[in-house]
Amino acid sequence: MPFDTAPVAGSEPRRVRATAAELETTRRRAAGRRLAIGLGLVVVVAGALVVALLVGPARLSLAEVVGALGRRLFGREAASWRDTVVVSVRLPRALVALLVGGGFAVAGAALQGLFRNPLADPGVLGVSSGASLGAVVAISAGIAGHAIWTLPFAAFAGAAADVLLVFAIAARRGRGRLFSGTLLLVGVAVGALNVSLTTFVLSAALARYDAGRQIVYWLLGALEARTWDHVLLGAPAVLIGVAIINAHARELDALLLGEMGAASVGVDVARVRLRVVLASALVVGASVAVAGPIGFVGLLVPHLIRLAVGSAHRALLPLAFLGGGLFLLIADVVARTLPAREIPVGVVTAAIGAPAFLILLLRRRTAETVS
Amino acid sequence: MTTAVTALVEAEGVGFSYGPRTIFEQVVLAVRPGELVALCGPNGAGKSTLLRLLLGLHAPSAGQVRLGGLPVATLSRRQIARRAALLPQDAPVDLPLTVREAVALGRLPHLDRFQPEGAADGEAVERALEATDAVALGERPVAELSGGERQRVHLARALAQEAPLLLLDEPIAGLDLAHQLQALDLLRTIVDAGRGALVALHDLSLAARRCDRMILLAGGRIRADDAPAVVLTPETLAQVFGVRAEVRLDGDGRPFVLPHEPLRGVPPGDSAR
Repeated sequence: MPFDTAPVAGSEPRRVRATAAELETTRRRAAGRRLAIGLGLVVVVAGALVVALLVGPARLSLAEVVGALGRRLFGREAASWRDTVVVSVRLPRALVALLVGGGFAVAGAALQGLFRNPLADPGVLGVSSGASLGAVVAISAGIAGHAIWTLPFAAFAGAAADVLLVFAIAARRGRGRLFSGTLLLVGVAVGALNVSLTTFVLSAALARYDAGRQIVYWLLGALEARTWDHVLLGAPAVLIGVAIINAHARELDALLLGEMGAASVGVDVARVRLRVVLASALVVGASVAVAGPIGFVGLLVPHLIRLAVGSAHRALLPLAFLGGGLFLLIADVVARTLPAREIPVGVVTAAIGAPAFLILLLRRRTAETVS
Repeated sequence: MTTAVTALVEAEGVGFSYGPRTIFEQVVLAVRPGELVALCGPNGAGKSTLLRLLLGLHAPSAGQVRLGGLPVATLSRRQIARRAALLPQDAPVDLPLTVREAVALGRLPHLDRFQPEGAADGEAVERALEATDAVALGERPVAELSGGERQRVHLARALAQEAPLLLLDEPIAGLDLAHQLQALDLLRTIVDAGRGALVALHDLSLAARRCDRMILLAGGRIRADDAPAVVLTPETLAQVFGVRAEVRLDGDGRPFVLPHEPLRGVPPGDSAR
């Protein structure tokens, strides 16, 4: 749009001028809208949580679910096996979904903003494929069965190794400095290496039916049989990472101005990039560790939230956390209630996410103004 | 030029090399409050590099830069941002923020990490929007604005920063004539109110119309630093830009450039490499 109707010297053309009061109203309405969306999401998440506790092979009534939660909360004796189903099976599984979905969405939103690239997602630096490789090696070597924490631990170690490798290579190329473009390219290359090694381990493991089946299932991303151990393993890393990202909301906004623009308003670009990338890696590593590489949450949800509240990270990040959690929780309920035998939740998120992303893309006026 | 006033920015014998390539050396310049200074020179002379260097984004290979009297190398990015605001050349076209959100980013160097924006910040944003005639654009997405409007918004962001010095890298490139004049007049008003500005410009005649001084950077050196009427001569234009050009005076007695043809040989900007 090279032309507009701005005043030409001498003659101020008539233009629709908003009065200060109108602008104030618009601004208040925008702020109110953000708050309403936030509160609305909280309510919907709470509702979805109740549904997630109700749905399953064992038919439970709302009273039984509420009773089970109440008895647990106030330290009373469990009334029956139904309490165990609610408190020890369905609740931790739902909490893992909220945690991991929220974590993926926040990491995706931060990385999309940081790299100014609408296609950035939690997998962009190879972190999730690194975590997958770690997990697959652990399953194949047979150490995953020893304790419930060995598999998440191996996955997290894989994610950490990936980040160290990507940073080391990128810093070497940048003579000590980290450039966005280099990070992305190195991430893609190392990610491809992770995938090929994962496939190698998988093909070697296929001879053993159990290990092969377990690997394939894990790689699709699943929330089946997640326990309080998984919640406790994942929650600290995810929540700390999300908090760190959230604390850099203003700097992420400034980075939308480009690196020079951000530096001009006092942002130490290299430091912020390092912190946000490491925090995202922490979130993604921990999320993949407890739930597997679930796709499309981190790509799709931030874009949906941006459509509703814009790109300013102070609103975007918390709402992406709620929205991502909600999306994964709903996807998990769908996965559990489909008439076929239970399918991995990663299949559902991709099945919903891919068409939703396409619709989003086609409805945009210009494809370039995404990030 | 009075020496009693502390310069907002000073370059003292500054040189910059990129690997084995020397971009420029022995650069001496100063900008004081109330001064609008044009930084001109052929493509590739290092104008953008010099502006970044003044903001401490590159370290000079020789000499030093002072912002408000203090060596820039000793200042943090936030401290620098409170002393000087840069309007980069590559300001993104598709900034996915509203005008107000974009302008409010100028308050970042004044806010601690968890400190919410206060009344003073709101007022600074309001003043910046008023100064750039962008109040009415307030809630519109920057990505939907025209080139002229967008440039005003980026300038408002720099103003909201409330830094005494503005560094602008070709702020009027890509604007039509009316908007170029409008932008420079706006800049003139802002500087007359007490700030200092160093502006990289390509249009010598426009620069001469509105700026107090012109600095010519070419062939790795400062070739001239004086009032436009002194700087703009056919000889200088031949030397610095490699063109045959006339310099005439307009009705107000200000010089303007009438370029005729490039002189034979390589343009000086390229020979500097």
